[in-house]
Amino acid sequence: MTKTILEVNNLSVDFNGQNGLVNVVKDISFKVEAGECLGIIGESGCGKTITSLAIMQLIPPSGRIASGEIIFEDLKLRELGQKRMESLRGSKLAMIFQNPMSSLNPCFTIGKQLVDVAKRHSSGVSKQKAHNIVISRLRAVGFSDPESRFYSYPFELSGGLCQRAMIAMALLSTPRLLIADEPTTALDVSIQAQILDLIKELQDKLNFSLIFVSHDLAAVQHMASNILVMYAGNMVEYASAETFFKEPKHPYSKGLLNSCLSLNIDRNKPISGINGEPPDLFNKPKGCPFEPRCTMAQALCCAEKPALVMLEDGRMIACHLFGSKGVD
Amino acid sequence: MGPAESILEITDIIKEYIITKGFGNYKKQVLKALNSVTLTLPTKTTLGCVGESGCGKSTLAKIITLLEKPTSGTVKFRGKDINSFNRKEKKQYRKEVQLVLQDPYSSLPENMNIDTVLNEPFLIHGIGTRVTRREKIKELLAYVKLNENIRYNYPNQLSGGQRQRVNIARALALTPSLIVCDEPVSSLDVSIQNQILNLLKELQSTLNVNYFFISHDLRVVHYICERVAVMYLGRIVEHGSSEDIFQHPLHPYTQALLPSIPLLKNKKEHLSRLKGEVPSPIDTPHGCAFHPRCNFTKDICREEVPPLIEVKNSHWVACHFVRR
Repeated sequence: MTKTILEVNNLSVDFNGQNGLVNVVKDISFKVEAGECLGIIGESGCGKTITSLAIMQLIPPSGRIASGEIIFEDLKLRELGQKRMESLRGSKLAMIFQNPMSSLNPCFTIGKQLVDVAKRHSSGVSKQKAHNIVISRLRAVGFSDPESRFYSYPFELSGGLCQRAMIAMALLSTPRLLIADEPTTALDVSIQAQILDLIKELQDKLNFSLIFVSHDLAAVQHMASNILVMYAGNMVEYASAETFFKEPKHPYSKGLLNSCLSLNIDRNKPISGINGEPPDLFNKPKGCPFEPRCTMAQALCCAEKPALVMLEDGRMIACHLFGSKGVD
Repeated sequence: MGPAESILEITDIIKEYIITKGFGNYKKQVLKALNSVTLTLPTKTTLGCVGESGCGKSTLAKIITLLEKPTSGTVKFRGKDINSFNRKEKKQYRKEVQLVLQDPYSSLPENMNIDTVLNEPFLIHGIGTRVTRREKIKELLAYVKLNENIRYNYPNQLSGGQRQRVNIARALALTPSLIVCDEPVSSLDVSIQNQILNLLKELQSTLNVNYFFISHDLRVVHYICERVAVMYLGRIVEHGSSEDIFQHPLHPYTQALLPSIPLLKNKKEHLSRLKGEVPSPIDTPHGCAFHPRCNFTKDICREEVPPLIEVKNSHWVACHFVRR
């Protein structure tokens, strides 16, 4: 049996809004096994980024983790002190952000920023050694001449190279879990494919677990072995990638898959998609959050929020259409 | 290009920006954003323009909408060069050609409610009375399928998709003949993106408007455009009907770009990748701009810029190794 690297149980995150507390993430539970890649899918504002920030314990000051536990390699992250969390962050838990240009400091060279991180991870390492580590990492992520790029500032590099530098930074120490939050959204198609391949290749080589957060289903399909679909802060479906893409069960997942454009659609017909807009988090529907947009909604959906149930094939789903056997 | 009637004829547009570098003893550099771009927009078609960031798509949109002056070359609208227009003609032209921008958050003024935003085009052009304008705005909101009671809302009360609908309504206000859409859906979620695409398509058939549609997402362009121009580093490298470009691409750049589109597949396979990155437009490679990333590079590619030639019936390619 493979080892569980990360376990998230009933995680809820609240934020202070103008009209009081907003529940941004509600009762999320999942596990990430060693070497696995979990894809988190959802529209903007569905809580996917907040979930990953919660794992890193980096929720901004206006929010807080209301309940739930996050267990990373037998450590309960919520109970760890600031200091121990800091030593964990970046060394065993690493994260790559969406916009590579703004996540690097424009005032320092790439090399300087990477050397700082390298020194922090292994105290007492000499300047020369840190330099060498950084150069080798930059080469590993595909910089063609790391020696000269070492002295470049972030704004002198293209978006793709900046993202590579970010990945190099995340991999300076060998992390057990890497969270990639929309790593390719800000990049061009041709560069996107390169970065996805790079992350995959590095994962095979360094054997870390990966949480891949994205709204691009095709990218997630390329990367992930398990899929978690979120909607308005709730988990609506969890399945292995294979079964999910073959047969999505939740009406929202179906809608998402249908709205993916391909190159062999009939251009004369309107494209299918999901009607309406995601709900206002201040003013969530009382029943199923997806009910106002759902084509299969029934009276029950409006009145009662569906619980997450486990189906025979191991997938979990929160929808009244499938609700009979409840899990704990 | 072809006998079909055209709404806009772009001939040999060159746009250079002078960039200064450093303090005091600074260097001047020339950035060629557009390099002899020739393109015709036929009527009743949607022309798509695709390319990676920095290839000059948005500069082209700015030139078409008279927001930038080209360094050389002409843009003819109904037979007349738009850069020789006088004030009055310019105003008329701006009524005919409208723009929808990428970011729905920054393209609506925060201090105006939707009613004021949609009223502005009419006020500027002195059209209608207060009563007719009110009716017209009602009609516009109906076109873009927005509920009428958002009329006195401010942009910050609307979602991204709703804002983009307001943007489209504003562009439609003066019944233009051409709407330049600069990445209108790339900052929206998939489900909202499809709604906007459907809306644009629907409006085209009801209102008889042409689109010049800029996007980096080939899937979107494939869905919405009849003709597609592929740009690379300020040049058009391939231009043809959507079928030609997507089924029988001829330029190596297009051929490499198509498989890198992330698509849902039945089985996992590697995305093919283009090697390297787009070179800086400040010092573009000598000869064919694509040669450092191309798999078929020969000596001639390093020396000569390939001309854009018509290979088949209105399918144009700029590559040394594509022959009629």
